[in-house]
Amino acid sequence: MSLIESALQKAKKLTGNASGEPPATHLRPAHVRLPERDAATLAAEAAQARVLPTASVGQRAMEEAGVILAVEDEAVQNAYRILRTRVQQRMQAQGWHSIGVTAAGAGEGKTLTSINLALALARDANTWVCLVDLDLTRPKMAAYLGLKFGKGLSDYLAGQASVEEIVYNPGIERLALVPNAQPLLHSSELIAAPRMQLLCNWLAAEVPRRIVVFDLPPVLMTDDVMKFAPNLDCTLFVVSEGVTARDVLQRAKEVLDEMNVLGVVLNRSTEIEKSYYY
Amino acid sequence: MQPEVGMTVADYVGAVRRRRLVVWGIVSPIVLIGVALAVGLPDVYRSAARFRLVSSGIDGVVQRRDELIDQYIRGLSDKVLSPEILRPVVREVNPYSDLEGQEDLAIAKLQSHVIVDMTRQTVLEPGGGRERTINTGFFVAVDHRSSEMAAELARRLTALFVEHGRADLLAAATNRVEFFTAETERLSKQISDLERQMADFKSANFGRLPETVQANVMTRGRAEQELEGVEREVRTLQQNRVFIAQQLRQAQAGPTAGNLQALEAEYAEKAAVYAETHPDMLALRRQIDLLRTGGGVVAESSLQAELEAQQAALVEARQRYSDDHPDVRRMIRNIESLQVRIASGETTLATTDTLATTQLRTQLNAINTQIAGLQSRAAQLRVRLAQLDTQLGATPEVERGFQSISRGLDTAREQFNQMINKKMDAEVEVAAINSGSVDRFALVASAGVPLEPAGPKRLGILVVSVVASLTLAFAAVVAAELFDSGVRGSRDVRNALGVTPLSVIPEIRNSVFRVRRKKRLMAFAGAVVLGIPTLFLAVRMVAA
Repeated sequence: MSLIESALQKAKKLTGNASGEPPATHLRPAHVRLPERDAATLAAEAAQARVLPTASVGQRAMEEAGVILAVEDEAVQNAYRILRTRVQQRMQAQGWHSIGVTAAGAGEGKTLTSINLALALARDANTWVCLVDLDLTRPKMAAYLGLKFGKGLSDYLAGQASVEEIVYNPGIERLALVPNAQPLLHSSELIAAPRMQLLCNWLAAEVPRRIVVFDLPPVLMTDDVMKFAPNLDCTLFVVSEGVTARDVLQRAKEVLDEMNVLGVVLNRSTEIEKSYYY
Repeated sequence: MQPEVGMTVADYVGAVRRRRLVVWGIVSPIVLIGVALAVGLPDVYRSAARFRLVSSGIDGVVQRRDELIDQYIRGLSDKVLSPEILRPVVREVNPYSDLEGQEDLAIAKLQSHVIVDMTRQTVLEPGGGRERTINTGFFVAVDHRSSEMAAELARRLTALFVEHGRADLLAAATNRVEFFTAETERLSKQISDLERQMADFKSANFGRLPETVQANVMTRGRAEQELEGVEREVRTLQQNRVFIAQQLRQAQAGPTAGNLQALEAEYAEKAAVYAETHPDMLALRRQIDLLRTGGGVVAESSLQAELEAQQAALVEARQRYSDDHPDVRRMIRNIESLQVRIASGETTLATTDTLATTQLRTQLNAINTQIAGLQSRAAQLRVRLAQLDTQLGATPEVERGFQSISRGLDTAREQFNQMINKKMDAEVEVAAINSGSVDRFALVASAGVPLEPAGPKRLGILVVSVVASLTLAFAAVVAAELFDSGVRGSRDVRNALGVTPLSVIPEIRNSVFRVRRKKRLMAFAGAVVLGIPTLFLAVRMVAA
């Protein structure tokens, strides 16, 4: 059974009606029609959004990291758009609002994928996004974005900051960031701590409702992902061509079978370099 | 982990595209080296001389087997290309100016630039019609950067090959001459020994030799005949002696007229044969005269006087006759008888003897003497017959020994003749070799000055370098793919996770990517810019 099938079965169990029959929408998530909203509705949503503290991003850092805001590669842009659309459709079909981005090991592009996915989702006028750097041992989101900010997630988990103080507005429409500057020990305990649950609840209660993208650590290197999995609606698994080993992938699958896996994204591929140019 | 079975060409192309760095990392240096070699290697000229193998008839082998030819040429080549032979050439020609003074290195370099190989031809076997490749000749080629030098070296090597090829033949033929000469000398000595042995044998067995058997038989026959004749003559003389003795007794009884008539008749008979001065005639005359005078002769004459008279008569007879004449021989017997009587002390003749009795007594004495002589001769003949019988009896054994020596002598002589003939053949062969008429190979094309370089094959080097580099690169890519356990493409994700990726994100070509690629390009360009001239100079230095 594939990851998707197992995830779908789990979703059936979670979202099925009283008779136990699963809703019909999950059978063909690609064909769910996204709700249409006019400009007034969108403006009203924007007015409802909380005013967040600002944090500037660095164009140079983003360009060097490969963030799509600073990259002009059309193929990359298209690829992330496709990813965004598919993720959006599946999440909306299941009514999911939180997604974790992980991989088997380090250096496979989880952080960049989560950043670019969040940015691609935020480009959609109907979607509000919050990106959380939950890789407590090696936080890199702020570095990739060239983010200049004050307190971060580590401060919050240490009880030295409030939630409002760590959710930033990077100046990108419909996007909020929860960065982390300092690596933390005992990350799995902190992830399971009540303050993390409070953060997740706070983010879930935000208006307009945001899709929260969590940049998670590698699933085979720590137990953070498994600890935090109950707080996630679904997981996006990143595979890096030439970096992820096949046997590692097999081991990761065993772990992912216990989670809701929305899908897999193949990163750094040389497979179809020209097909994205349209 | 091995690649999945069923990879398509597109997969391989994708793999090559993924491993561009590996491909370029392998192709570039190899092609660069190839270009440097193709451009940098100096021209090499080749001058070659071709030889044709000649069937040898002197030693009886009409056509040598290919492997023997090959081995012979290889051996000759090793000999000609040895340092001892090449050293004078290197000294005189100085083919490598950069190695002047380093003869050993120059010799080694020259050896490495000389090619000796067989030339072959495909022929049909007469019996089965099957095709067969045979060696028809060989060539000697010299490579050098100077066409004139290549030609000069090739010409010198050609002369060396011819010279040493003849030297081999000459050495072999000379050895044969020496061998046959030694054999002839040995056999000559052996023959001399056998001849001496034969002579000694003949000397030791003279008369018993097989070749003397016939003579001995004939001699024995003659001796037997002579013995028979002697014995017959002895018997006759003995009969005569008896008759004369009887006459003597009668004569001693007195003279009678009958006796005078008998004497006169005997005188007349003998006058027809002898002269009057013959002693018998004189004795008969005296007896007749005495009888006519009527009395007996009281002759008292001494033996000495009789002896002297007989000796005088003998001298006179010898003037007329030889010693073999019967009368002469009778006189000699008489003289010997008188000398015996004188020596025994008898001095006078019997005074009462008449002429007849004297004559009879003389005859009787002569007959006795003859008989004695004949008996002596018979004894000699018997001894001679015994000797001949002994010799004839020993002849078979002697013949056996004689045949043995004779056989050895004949065999030695036959061998000697054979050796002489072979020696002459070998000497003829030596002369033929020195004249060059029996060389094992003939020059069909002498070494000339090449007009065009024979190498290097620049295009070939380029092609080989390109092909080799691509092959190695492809092999490296395949090996990298084989040992690459990383995920490659959506298919690996599908196979591992059972799901197609939601999206395939290509590698982001940002400034970092461009900087990295630029660095690689600059490194490659720098390697090319520096590498080609460096390789070119290195190739030139090594080739020098």
